[in-house]
Amino acid sequence: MSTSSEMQIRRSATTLRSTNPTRSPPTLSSATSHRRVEPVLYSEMAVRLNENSLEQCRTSVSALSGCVAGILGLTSYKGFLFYGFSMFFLSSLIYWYIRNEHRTFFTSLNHVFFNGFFNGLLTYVLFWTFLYGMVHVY
Amino acid sequence: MGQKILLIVGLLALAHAGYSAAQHRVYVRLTEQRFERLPTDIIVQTLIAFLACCIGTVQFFGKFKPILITAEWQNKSWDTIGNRPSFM
Repeated sequence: MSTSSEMQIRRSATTLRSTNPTRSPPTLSSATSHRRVEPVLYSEMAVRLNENSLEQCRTSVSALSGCVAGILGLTSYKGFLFYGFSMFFLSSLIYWYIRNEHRTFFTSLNHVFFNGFFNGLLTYVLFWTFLYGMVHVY
Repeated sequence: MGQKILLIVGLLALAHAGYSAAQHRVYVRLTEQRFERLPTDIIVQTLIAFLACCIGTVQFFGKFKPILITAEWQNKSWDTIGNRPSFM
């Protein structure tokens, strides 16, 4: 487990090379897998805090969009399409807020857009069916 | 407080739109018309309330910290880090 995290840090060190001019350039030896790179230190608490904030945003927005879908009376595939749209909308909102400094907060933009896309699906369905029942059935 | 205003207003607008949608449903059921779709102003109010709530949520929950540990260490001096209090 520790070796894979080490490799992850080294891989991200090579991709960060272009943005950080103060580090020494990598030297390519004859073996292709050997590269002398400086390891980059990430603060574990900060990474966890960022993922936590993202998860809180996702859960509350999926609950909200479930309420909206229930009020509007969306059914079957339109409801799931609306979930996809609301997750994409949330991702673009977050990207728009951290547009200039997203590299200081996340290692890659996949965290904002793709990871955890379906995390809020069950919350969405819960609020969707509840509000649909409240508004349209009773 | 200014951050929460948008969220509170959005939630209230959403609740109001939900209540009017329920009332419209009851009205259509009482007058025995076929229910085609909700009136346009309710749909518009719902979507605008959703937008306001989303922006309020991102502002309220979206507080990120820089992940490189050197950002945290920039402001510390050697006196803070290298302090080793003696035993007595």
